[in-house]
Amino acid sequence: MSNEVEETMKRIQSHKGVVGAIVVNSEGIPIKTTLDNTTTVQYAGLISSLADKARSVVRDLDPSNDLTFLRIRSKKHEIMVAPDREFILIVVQNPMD
Amino acid sequence: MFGIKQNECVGFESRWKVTKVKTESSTQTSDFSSNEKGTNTAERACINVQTDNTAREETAEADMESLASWLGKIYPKVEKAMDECTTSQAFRGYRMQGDLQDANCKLLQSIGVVNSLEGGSGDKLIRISDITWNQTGKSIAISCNSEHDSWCHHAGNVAIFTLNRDWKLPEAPRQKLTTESCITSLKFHPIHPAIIAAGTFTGSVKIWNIQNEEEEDFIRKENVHSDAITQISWVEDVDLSKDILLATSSTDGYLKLWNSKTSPFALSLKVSFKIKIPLFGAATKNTDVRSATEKNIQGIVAFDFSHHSPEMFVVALEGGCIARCSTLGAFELKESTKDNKVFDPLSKYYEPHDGEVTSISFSPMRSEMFMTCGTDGELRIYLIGQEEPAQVIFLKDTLLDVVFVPYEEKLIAGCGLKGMLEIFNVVKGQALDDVTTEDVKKTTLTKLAVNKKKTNIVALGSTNGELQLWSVPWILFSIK
Repeated sequence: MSNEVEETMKRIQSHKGVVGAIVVNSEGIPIKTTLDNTTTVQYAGLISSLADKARSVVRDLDPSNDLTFLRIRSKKHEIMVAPDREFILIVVQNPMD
Repeated sequence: MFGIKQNECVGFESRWKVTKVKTESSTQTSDFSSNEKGTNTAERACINVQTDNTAREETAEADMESLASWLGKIYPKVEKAMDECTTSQAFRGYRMQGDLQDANCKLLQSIGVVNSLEGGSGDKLIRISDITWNQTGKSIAISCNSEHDSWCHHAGNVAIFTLNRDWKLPEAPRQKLTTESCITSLKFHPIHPAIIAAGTFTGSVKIWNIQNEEEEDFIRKENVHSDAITQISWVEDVDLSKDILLATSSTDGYLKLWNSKTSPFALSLKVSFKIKIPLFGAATKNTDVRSATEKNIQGIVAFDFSHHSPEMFVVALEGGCIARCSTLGAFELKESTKDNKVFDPLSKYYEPHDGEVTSISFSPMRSEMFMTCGTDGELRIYLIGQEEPAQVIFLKDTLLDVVFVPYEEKLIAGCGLKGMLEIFNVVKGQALDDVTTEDVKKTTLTKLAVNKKKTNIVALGSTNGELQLWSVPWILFSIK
């Protein structure tokens, strides 16, 4: 099963422009990563708390609604966050333009 | 006054010696002490160093099985998002307000193309005749030609450069292509990044597939036109399901559309168009010098097909005449034969230029707008329903090439005798000042090509065979 996870991570990593991908558990602790340690811990902590906040915003606005995906466009990167109950997948990508 | 008084006798003890009483006393002041206080301002430097918190390696046990299944489930969604990130145009050229400080064009690179093209044939190539970027924006093709008094005896050359990862041109071209005579027009295929077509001075067309570097993969068609080809373009068929068509125009007065196939190469004539000049109105002054036989046919200098309706196109004829045409509803001319169908596609004339038209093109943003530029020093914006130009920009220096700036409907970029990239604001109807602070040698610029993928990269070709790459922040100029 671990192989399957590695395989998917590699597939994400090999995608055009991808800098790295991180899987974080619900406590914000990284489980799988393709980035270095410091970056991973930083991304994991900050993005998971942002994702929590974003989710609570969506739910506060409409309790029957839920956050499905979060994209953050910055000058240098685009950060894609796929949140779930158990895990959060973070993908950092270099945009084309 | 005098009397006698007797007083009692009083005796005095003699005291002739008095002992002196002496007392000594001394005072002692307290100990001498002195206090000094000095004040002096002192310079103090304080440096604090905070080391990063060491990253704690937290390892968490996770249920790999559920993670694997979750990743499998989420992957298609993430893949779609990643694709969107690389292909999306939503943020193209987007800059934040704080970044909008200096609108300034930067010269990225300048290379002499002529030197790399001269292949020992002894022909002196002089100026860049056309520049074209391919569909991926990574390759650029440049053709050079010489001045012609009469017939062309030169061999045509195309240099193809592929940009490095840091968007720089290498010193030497990746590939060189040759034709039998000078190339007047050059265009990369709009879909296939390795296919390039060239039209020559002697009226022939050659199409290459540059993917195969070793073997020459091309098709050549002689006598496409009986005179020099003025422009070559890839255009969409009215029937969008079909392949892209190749359009060629020439000074022989024909505009021809060709069915093209890319693999294997095939080129077959679809239809020919011939545009008559108006017999009355402003253009009649050009007709009286012509002989009776050719009085109402003139060479096509430039054309452009609409980006919004593939049947509509505009042409510029010799003498400054401008006309809008349509491939649908064109009527067949008498000279038309079964193999060579000739149509008159004319829909409408517009107010002609007083000089030769150097360029004509539809706006990529507005379906009803097109622009022309002529040697009479006028840059005109026309609306298709209106005969007179909607806007005229009077030029100080003649422009040899003008294009609408992609994604910026207000801007037009041009180059010409001024020797600099010039940018015009259509709404204000004037040229923008201070386009660059760079100090470049001014030579007449013949061609301008905006990169299709990275639109802030602009290639300029000069009359002395120099290719310049500029970085132009269009968005800053559009709000200037």
